[in-house]
Amino acid sequence: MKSEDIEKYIAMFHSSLYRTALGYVRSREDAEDICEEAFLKLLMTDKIFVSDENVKAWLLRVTINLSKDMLKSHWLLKRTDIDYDIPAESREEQNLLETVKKLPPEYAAVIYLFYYEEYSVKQISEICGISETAVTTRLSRARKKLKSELEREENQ
Amino acid sequence: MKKNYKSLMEKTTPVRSNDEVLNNVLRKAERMNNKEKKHIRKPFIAAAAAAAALSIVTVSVGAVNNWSFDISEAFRSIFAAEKQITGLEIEVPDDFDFSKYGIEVGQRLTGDGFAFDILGIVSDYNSIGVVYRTEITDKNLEYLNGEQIYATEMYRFYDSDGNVIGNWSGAGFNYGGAIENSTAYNMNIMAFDFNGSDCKKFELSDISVDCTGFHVGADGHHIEPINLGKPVPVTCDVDFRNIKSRTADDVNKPVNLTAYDFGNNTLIEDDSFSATVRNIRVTPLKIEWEFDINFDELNINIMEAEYGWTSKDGVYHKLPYGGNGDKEKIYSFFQYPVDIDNVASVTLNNLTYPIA
Repeated sequence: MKSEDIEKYIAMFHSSLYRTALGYVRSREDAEDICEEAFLKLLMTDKIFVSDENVKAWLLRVTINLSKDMLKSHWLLKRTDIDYDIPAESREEQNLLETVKKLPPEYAAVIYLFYYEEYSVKQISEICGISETAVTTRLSRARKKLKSELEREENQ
Repeated sequence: MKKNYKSLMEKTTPVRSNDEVLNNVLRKAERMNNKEKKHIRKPFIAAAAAAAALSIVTVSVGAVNNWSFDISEAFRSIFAAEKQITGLEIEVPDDFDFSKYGIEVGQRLTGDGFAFDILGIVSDYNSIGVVYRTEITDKNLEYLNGEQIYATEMYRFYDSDGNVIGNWSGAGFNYGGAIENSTAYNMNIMAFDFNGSDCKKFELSDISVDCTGFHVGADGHHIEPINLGKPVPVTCDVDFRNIKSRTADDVNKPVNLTAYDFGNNTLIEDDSFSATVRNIRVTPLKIEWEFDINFDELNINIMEAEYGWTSKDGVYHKLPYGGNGDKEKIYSFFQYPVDIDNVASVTLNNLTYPIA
């Protein structure tokens, strides 16, 4: 792919890739490194894409695979801290942020792809390389986890 | 809640600017190119060995003895991996005969470090599942990433005159992939409407993505992706016209369901409603339900239900809950092989429907 195309796709999809990676690795710098690696792979590939949406789905898939690989790495397995924060405007928003940060990485990814990127279950299954059953189960469990965590925080 | 979530995500912005990312990417690409050129100028034994590992020297395709493997082993492995992912156990009777739902293929691809068997195909009128096994023969390869072996533009279907009547481009999704004793089983399921089609030939072809394996470093932790090259096409004769399905004979009952209402700005609120069942179809791959839901009003993406099927000898087989329907009245509750000859009834949220 040409470098001017990469520039275009960075402008279009950097944020989406960053949020997806952040849900897995919980570190801003690691998430950025993953984004760069994904765009590098896009630059080096000779694959022909039929649309920008096709590129986005491919990039998300690569980002998820790179994030999983990073989670497997020895040093990250030992690390437990979460090094990002977002200025929340309300108590509800702050509670939601804390709850989202507690979600297991694979749950955070499907929640993000479903509720923010508005992909269908089928599309998420293709991007994440898991079955539709697994997507639905993760969405269902993440939803229940969010609900119970938020209720618990509200009762405190 | 969904509004709050979207607002939070809007604020989750990258720390590096787009220009910074672009510069870093271009710099890394330049470094990689320079490194490759350097290696070409000064070849040495290690590089030659690495290059040999990175490419397929010989690829051959040959027939495997008909069902010389135990297909049930493949499915049990796939279900075990699914359980690891979803936590849901798929009950499979010990004497379950998977082979009668499959069209045998038995094609083997071999390359340096791996063997790849397409074991069989399971299908119903609108979807197809390819069951395959990957065997690692190179001890330096810890595992192959199944989802990257089969990624895009790989299946093509022909009618009896040899005309292409459809192809699958875009990634399929995999069930399973657990590696045990260097062997992984997967099932790749794709949507393809065979209803009324004259599909006579199936071809695995046009793999535009190379096979990817991983090399494990000396420290046991460093995993380096390596390129295994592209397998050659495989073709086999199939006939999807004989796929059977069965329907329920006592429908039109109301059933309570729980759904995610995506159109109501909610993230975590339940939305329970009642719908009347209009049709139930049991196929080898799934149990399909047709409701009188107005999907345009509810805008449902996901529904939840407890469901399963009971065999003629009275044994209940619980299946994973959940499903999805994209504003269509037909709603599938998941793709797992179902013993359609042996189904006496299906159950949805405590309501039981006899199968004709």
